[in-house]
Formats: sequence, structure tokens, C-alpha cells
Amino acid sequence: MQVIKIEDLYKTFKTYKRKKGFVGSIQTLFTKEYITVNAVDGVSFGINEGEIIGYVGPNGAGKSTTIKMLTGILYPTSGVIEVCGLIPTKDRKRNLMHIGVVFGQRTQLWWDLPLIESFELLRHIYRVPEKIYRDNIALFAELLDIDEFINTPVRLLSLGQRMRGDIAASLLHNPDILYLDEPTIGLDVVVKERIRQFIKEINIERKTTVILTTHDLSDIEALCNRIMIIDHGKVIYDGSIDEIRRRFGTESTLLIEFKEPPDQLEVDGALEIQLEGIRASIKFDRKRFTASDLISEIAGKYPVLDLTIEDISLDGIIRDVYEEGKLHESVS
Amino acid sequence: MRAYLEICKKSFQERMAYRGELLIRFVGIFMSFYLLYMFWKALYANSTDVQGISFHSMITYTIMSAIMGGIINIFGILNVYLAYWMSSRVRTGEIVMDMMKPTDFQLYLFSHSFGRLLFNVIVSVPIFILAIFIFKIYLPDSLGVLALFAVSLSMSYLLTFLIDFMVSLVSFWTTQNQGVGGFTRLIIALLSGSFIPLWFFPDWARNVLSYFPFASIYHVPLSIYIGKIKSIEGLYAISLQIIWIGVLFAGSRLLWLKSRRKLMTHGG
Repeated sequence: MQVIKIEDLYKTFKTYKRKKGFVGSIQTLFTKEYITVNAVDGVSFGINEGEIIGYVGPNGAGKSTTIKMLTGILYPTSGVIEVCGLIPTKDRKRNLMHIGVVFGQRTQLWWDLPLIESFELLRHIYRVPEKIYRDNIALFAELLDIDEFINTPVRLLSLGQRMRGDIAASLLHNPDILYLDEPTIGLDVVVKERIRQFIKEINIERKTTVILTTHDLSDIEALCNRIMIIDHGKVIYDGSIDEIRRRFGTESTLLIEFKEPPDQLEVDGALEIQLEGIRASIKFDRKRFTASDLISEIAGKYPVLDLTIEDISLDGIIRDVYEEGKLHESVS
Repeated sequence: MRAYLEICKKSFQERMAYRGELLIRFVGIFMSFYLLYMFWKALYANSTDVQGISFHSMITYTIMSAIMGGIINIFGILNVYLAYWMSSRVRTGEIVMDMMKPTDFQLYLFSHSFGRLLFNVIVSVPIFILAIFIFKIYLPDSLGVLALFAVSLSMSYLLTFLIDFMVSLVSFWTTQNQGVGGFTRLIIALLSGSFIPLWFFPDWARNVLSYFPFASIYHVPLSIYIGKIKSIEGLYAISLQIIWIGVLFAGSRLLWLKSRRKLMTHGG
């Protein structure tokens, strides 16, 4: 079942053109030059119940803007959005009742009050039945250890604790859809792993649909089966992670250590060779050559001591995709 | 409804978290009372009665005005709470977190503000009692007058909230609302009778001003308190307050519907 449907979505911001420097800022006062920014530029996609989607893209790509439109806070310039059959801006309250949102850089918790007070308030705002509320608090205590700091004022929590609190807060009312906008930003590995496990658990147990925005691609690798890449307001890739690896991740690197430094290194089929003393790194395209071809060629010519093969990381792949996206744009 | 009650309670609790700075605030408040006292003493140096108002009544008016300001969230002319709060929330984008609640936004903010009001009322009690002893301000003539004052003060609060809310919405259009906020504060300070009672204004100005909502904020409740406006006249003034509340409420709803669409937030 499709829970989110977006068709031809546009969001345009109009801002004043600002000039640089002191004189420029005075000039800005007297001119009315507008720049229009296409934050979201013709996006279409559908998301099924129970999916975990990775929504990635460089800073300013339009990720958060899309999410804010899905919550009904921002009005689309044009296009269709449906969340569980509702139009978010028209049925604002009803839509908000069955979604949960975490913006990693913000908090919905009451800064000066103990964490539990925020939970209590949310219980009333979302009209969560007593039993569900208590079960959830127990579950979050078990999976996120929130009981350790539930009576501490939020301003005294560490970033990791606060984030766990925020995630728990967003799930108190058992939402059907969870929007996570950079939920692991600035967190240490242990807390990150904690949060990933928790999201996975919730997704499996409750069939909660999760839309995850992040710059940390290990989040995506750990959680998502589908990834959408957005840049300059356009979706430039929508598909599985395996597919993206097959299509873009064909570049591998061979790291070699020689017994003695070779004067010159020549390898047929290498894309790029770097030689430094006894160490060399050789990039090659796996579609065209196999690693064993390359190794036997090199081992035949030079005395090899040790070697390793490194696949391109998802980070590297995404970087390539971003760059390719820009390439498309400069052509069109 | 329960949700709004809870917001109100949390807002009250939040204020309580910082009770430590109250003492400093108390000192500041009494220093400002003393300044006001000296100011009016100088003006009354050569007469016991100006425009039919005794020095004693004038001091009561002035100090009650300052206490009232503290209650309805206008501290002197320095701070209109909601407009300031909203401006910073919109500028940083935090406002998103408030709009993301399945509540009526205006009622959400009202509950928040009402929690503060309750806190302010509690804080004002000792200030009021001390002011009776130090500056010899007097109590209203009868319980009836006190009740009328209480009703009128509640209306003042609603009016202030609505004006404050509308000013704060300006930040949805311009991001910053400090300019409008400052202007509004100045207008309220000058035209509401908070510093200079309206009876010191020329007749024509007083007549014009008494129809504006600003006069309803300070002039009406304070005049009722000191006995300058009596029974029927007081009820008439209160009904004018209520009319203004109706008008401003309708206006604020309309403005909210328009402003919602104007929100721009970037980053995060």
C-alpha cells in the first residue's frame, strides 16, 4: 500500500538579492532584485508502507524542504502531495496526528523541564491512551535506556541523550510514518548504532514507514533498502543500494607493497597509478578487468610482497553521483 | 482541551525553573517604582490636586500600571514577550517544531502565554503587598470595584495577547519583527495611559484615544481601580474592551491564515 504519493512537486522561494560587504548591504536596502530559488524542482515518488527510505543529497539539495511539505508546514508552490490519503496542508492536524518527526538539529523537548514532562505533554497533545503510553515508555527504556535520564532537565542532557529523547518523543503516539532528518548528526558510534537498531526494531514490529535523511551513509547502509538521491531540488537517483553499487561502484583500488621499489610501474588496464617508494595504489574498472588479471600481470613483472583490494565506498559512489548530476545540469 | 491545559501547566513549570533570578528582578522593580514615585512627586510639588486627581491616586495609578505590565507580559516598554520569542524562533527556524504539533497554533501560543500569566500573578502578589506599605498605594473602594477591575484586567490581557500575536506574525513575512515590535511598544506606552494617564491629554486627543484598543489596555482597568471611572461608565468601558477583543481576534485569525503560507525556513 502506498502511504506517500508525491507528484510533480515544486517549491520556489523568493529572496532579495543581497550584495556583499558594507556598501553592498546599504545598496540592498534600495534595490528590489529578487532571486528565485527552486528548492524542490519537480519531484515525484511513491513510498510503500513499511519501507525505510534513505533520502540523501548534499547540503541545500531540498531534503528538509520536502519533509516540511510532507508535514504540512510549508505550502508547495505546485504539485500533489498525499500522505495516507490526506493533503498535509489541508488536513494539517489529522496528518500530524499520525506522523512523527525528528529534526536532528532541533528539539521538540522542553528545554528547562525534565524529559518526562515533555513526554507527558505529548501524551495529551496526541491523546495517547494510558496503556499505550506506558508500554511505549517501557519499550524506550529497554531499547534506548531513556530511564537513565528521564528525570533530568533537557538542557543538561548530552547530545546523544537528547537525541534519544527526541526520537522517543516522536514515537510516543505510534505514528504510521516517521520522518528522521539527520537523526545521528554529531553522535558517537555507540549511540549511532543504538539508534539504528531501534529504528530497525520499530520498523519491523510496527510496520512504521521511515524516511531518513542523513549525510552519514553508514546509516543508509545499515537501514535502508531503497535510496533516493536529490540534488538541486531534483531526484537524480531512486532505487536499491545494490543497484547503485552495480551501476556506479565499479571502480576498485589495488594496493600493493613491493619487495623493493620499482623504478617505473606500468600496468595495462589501470585507470590511475600512484607510486610511492615500495607502495603503489592502482585504480581499475572491474567491468573491464578482473583483479586476478591485474595481479598476475603485476606479479609477473615485479616482486610483490603484499596486496589488498579496496572497493569504492558508498560515500565515494554518492560523491560520483552528485558530480554526475551536476554534469547533467551544466549540459542541459 | 486537555492538551492546552497541559501546555499551560508546563509553561508555568518552565517559569518556575528560573526562580533564582526573581530576587534581582524584585530589586529592579522597586527601583523603577521609586523613580516613578520621585517623578510624580516633583510634578505634584506645588499642588495637591491635578485634573481632580490627588497625588495619592496618581501614585496608585502609576505603580499599579507597572505591576499590571508585569502581569500581562509587557515589562515596561522593554519587552513584548511573544513578538520577541516568535522573531527569534522564525529566524533560527525553531518555529517548525511548534507548528508541527497537531494543535491550533494560536491556542497553543495562548496556553503558553497563559502559563506565564499565572506565574506573573503569583509573583505580583508580594510586590503588590510591599507597594502598599512602601508607597502607600490604596485598595479599591469596594469589592465591586475590585471585581470590575479584575474583569477589566483580564480583558487587557486578552487584548495584549492578540496585539502581541499579530505583531509576532509579522516575522513570518519579514523574518525580523523588531521594528514593528518596537513601534508597537512605543505606541502602547504612549497612547495606552501606561505612563501618562489619558486625562492629562487635551480633550480631543483623549476622546480619539479612548476609542483605540490601546487605551483599553491600561487606561480602562487602572481608571476603574482608582475610582476615576465608576460603575456604569466602567461597564461601558469594559464592553468596548470586549468589542476590541472580538475585532482583533477575527483579524488575528485572518492574518494567521495568510501568514502560514508565507513561512520560509532554511536548513535543518
